[in-house]
Amino acid sequence: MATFDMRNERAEAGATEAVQTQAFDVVVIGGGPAGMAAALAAHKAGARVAIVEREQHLGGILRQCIHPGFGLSHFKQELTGPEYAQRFIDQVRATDIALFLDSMVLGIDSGESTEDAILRTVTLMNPSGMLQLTGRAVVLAMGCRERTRSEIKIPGNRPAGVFTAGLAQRYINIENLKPGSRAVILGSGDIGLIMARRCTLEGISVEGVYELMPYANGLRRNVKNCLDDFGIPLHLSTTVTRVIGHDRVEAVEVSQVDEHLAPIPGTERVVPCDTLLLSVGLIPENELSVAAGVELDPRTRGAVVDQSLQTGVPGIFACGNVLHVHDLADNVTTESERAGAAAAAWALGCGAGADASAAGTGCQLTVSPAGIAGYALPGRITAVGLTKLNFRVRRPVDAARVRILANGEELLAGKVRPFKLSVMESFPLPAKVIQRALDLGVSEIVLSVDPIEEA
Amino acid sequence: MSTNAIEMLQFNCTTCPSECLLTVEVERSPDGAVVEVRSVTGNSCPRGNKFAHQELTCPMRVLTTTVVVSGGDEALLPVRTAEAIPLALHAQAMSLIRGLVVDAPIRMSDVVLPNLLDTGTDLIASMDIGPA
Amino acid sequence: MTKTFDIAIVGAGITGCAIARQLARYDLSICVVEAANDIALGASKANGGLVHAGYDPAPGTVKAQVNARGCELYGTWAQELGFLFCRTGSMVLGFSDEDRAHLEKLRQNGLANGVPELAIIGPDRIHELEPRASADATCALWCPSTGYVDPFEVAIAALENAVANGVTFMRSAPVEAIEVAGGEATDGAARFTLVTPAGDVRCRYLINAAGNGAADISHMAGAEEFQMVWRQGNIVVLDKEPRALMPLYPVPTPVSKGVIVTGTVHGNTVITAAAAVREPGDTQTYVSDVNALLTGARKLVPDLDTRRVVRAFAGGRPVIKGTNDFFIGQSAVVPGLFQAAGIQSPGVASAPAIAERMEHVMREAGVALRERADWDPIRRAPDDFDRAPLARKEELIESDPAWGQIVCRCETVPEAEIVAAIRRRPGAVSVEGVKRRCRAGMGRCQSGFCQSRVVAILARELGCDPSEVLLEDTGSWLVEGPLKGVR
Repeated sequence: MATFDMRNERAEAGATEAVQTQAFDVVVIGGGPAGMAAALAAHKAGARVAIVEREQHLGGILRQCIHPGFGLSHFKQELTGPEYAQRFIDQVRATDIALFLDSMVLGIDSGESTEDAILRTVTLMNPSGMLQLTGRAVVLAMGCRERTRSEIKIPGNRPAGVFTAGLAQRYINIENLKPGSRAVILGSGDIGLIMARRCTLEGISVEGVYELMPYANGLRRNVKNCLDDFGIPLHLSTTVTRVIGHDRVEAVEVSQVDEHLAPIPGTERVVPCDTLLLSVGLIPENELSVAAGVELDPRTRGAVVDQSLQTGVPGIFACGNVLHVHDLADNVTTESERAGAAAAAWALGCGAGADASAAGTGCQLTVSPAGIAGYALPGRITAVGLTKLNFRVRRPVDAARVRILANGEELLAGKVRPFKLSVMESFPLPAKVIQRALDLGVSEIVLSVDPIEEA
Repeated sequence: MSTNAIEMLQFNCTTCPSECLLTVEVERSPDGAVVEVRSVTGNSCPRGNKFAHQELTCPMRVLTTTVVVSGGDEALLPVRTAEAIPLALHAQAMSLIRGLVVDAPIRMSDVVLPNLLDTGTDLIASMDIGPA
Repeated sequence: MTKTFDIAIVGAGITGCAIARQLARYDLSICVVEAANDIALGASKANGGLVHAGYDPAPGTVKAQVNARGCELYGTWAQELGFLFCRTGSMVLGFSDEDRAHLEKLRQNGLANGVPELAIIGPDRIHELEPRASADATCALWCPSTGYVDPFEVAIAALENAVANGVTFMRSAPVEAIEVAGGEATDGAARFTLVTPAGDVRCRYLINAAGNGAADISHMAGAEEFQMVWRQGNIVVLDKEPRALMPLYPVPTPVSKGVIVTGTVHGNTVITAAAAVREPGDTQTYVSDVNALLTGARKLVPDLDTRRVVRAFAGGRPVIKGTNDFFIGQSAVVPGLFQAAGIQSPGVASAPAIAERMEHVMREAGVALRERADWDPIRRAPDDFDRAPLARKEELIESDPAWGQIVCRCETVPEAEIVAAIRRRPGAVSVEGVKRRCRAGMGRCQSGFCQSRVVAILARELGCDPSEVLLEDTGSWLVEGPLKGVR
């Protein structure tokens, strides 16, 4: 390995060589709730489907989410994460969907182009060797990862004992290992709250949950059942401003923050602990997508998709937490079933139909968020039809309304209601509203969530 | 003879995703025990009323945890109580469950421990676990 | 238990490792004595991996000599030791006429130091060389010989090669005292005794390459009383980019090179700068420092996405008070003691030349250096799965299915690569040691997905319980032990 220019080596690594190939219609990357739902829907539509999963088992992160709260909308009963996953695993196992477990996807390439659709090649590795799967459609369902200490720039020392909540959850729920004895939790998202209860039940004392914002980020039920039930204090507008301890965490310094979220000097307090758990946000894992040429929305950090959840790269679809972070697995399932069905339709119809309809209507609208809407999904609408818009607000409000605007003109307004931070919202956009926008000759519609001032 | 105290409480109903904020008026005896739930407001369905009464007399929760697996392809089996059990029993249940070991293979819904602490509720497997 | 060697080198940082590698070709018994449990845990950590070309040290200084020469030697070292080295060239960006005057001075300085092919260039050439460089830059000093390495890999590769040639590596052996017997340095007697908790080491010649601990070692030996200050180096690592950035520097100040932005051999972007002088031992990061780095970096590369921070860290760079120069030579007080002290920036760039100079100094001092017939300058780098072509990947998995078992998904590190990192000599003994050798846990999730798996592999390979697996050094335990089920 001599002096070399990396650019050449990278180009070489991308070259395809003779590797065993298997052909499918739809290749689903990820075997969590999104991947399984997409695969089942594609299979139901008559496609030959493969699931590629990194782990030894299907189920994804649900395997370590042993708490209840799943399935209320999809199965009409409250299930634990593993139960929710097991129901889908059983369904997948009952089909001839090909499973590639313990398999890591290294890249998605565009292979030979036939007349009507481009064949995609998914290159994967597993303990049996390298393998390439081809399919006209690929569904991205890789999920998300946790934000780290570095991303939120917590200063101080870098000892052992700082874990993302999900890593601690893995140690406790999967590996049967105790990550520490006295924990401080930063972040009141649902994972942080759930880990506060889990730690307490397993004999790890939780000194407190600290939250930068002036409100809890997780669901009310989790604040009640995970903190209140155990008398764990929730400190709002407070954050960790220093990690103390050279080898292992010995304490953290916490400070109150002002309305600009800046720590207030003089409010520092040292909390002795040996473990700091971080539940400070989730980020879609889109490295594969980007390498495949998929354009991302900087707001969601997931792909820009159209109403059928197709990305900007024809034949590549995205769903679940890799597209945008969901709070309920049930919503992941619903969305992924749509993606799977659309992928199958594309693969089986070779995409010709979809192209024709788009061309026929000449529908090309982008959807942008405004007001307190943090994002709007899908970001593109290419067909006139009832379209479900998903969005999330950036702060909780007691009264606000959704408005659909085109060129400043209000096309539709929702009713005034409260919006919660922890909830991914859904707003149906009727076909006639899309048609109206087209009639106006606009190229963009705006989804605006506007708070109503109290009278 | 001291008199009973009247207290106003606020908490969220957790029966469904609406999470209604309930305002509850309770009468407590001098030792703190709830004598009567006098009124429940803020609920948008009858389940809120039922929840508030249960919450003030004997809060019930599903307990989820893990049990050590012997001979399986996972170290731990996620388990749950088939139904909610009294929250007050969770700590005792945890000490009992901590000592359990189950043998693989296991199927979801298999009973791991029947009639947990005489609650009439079984501790059941949340997932399949195959042999090692 | 006492072991006797011809030479003991204190410190397994990049300087000590390079010296060990340089001297391993001679018929000498050598021991590298390291306080920590792994290689390059001190000052060698507190840098961004740049192989500076050597245009900024004052001409005539030791630094000026070893920097330019070190940069020149890197090509050969990379080839022989099998580490990654990209000689990308660099630019010092100027934004004003005043800056242009500074750049011209810098160019003259560089020419005096023997730095090749320096040129002042204008905006068109700047953006041809690095399209992401600030459009406000009106001029730049173009220096084709600059490059970058992974400093851990260099230190590890050098010591692996030294060990393969018979050098002994003693870890977790902080020197607590040094006894110096009388007599002449060259009379053949082992005059120095290093007292360490891992056993005593006796040697004829002692090389002090202890980095931030160099003043203490010199003091213990009764030699020069160096006054050292702890200048913090700050580093922010950003996620990988499709194309690695060329190293970009601002016009330097008298004490510092300023905030530098560079690509790395792995495709990340690194922002680095020297920060304030702080209490010795302070490796904390500070919000103000990190923010200064991000702000400074955006001046050079305005489109830098500073949300994509993978890691921020800090470390101490040993600076001899009163001089900005390196001290490389035999002690004037204690003959037989050779010192490489004050090796702050550009220590990484200079390391091969510091080793060469140390060899020269020892030869001049009368140390008998007889070449060994069996010396092998080549180190075979471990297989890097992520970089291997598809056919090689297939071969590796065929040779052992563990090559197909992914552990670190961010950096595509399979289990077999981690096992190799532990089994190499000297191998990894900690989670961070694994990370420095094969990048497992180095990526964007910062080991959130793979840490528990790496802990399990370390426990298996080292024959210990997961509760005994360390993140880094003594005391940095990761898990207490089983939660339940132990009877």
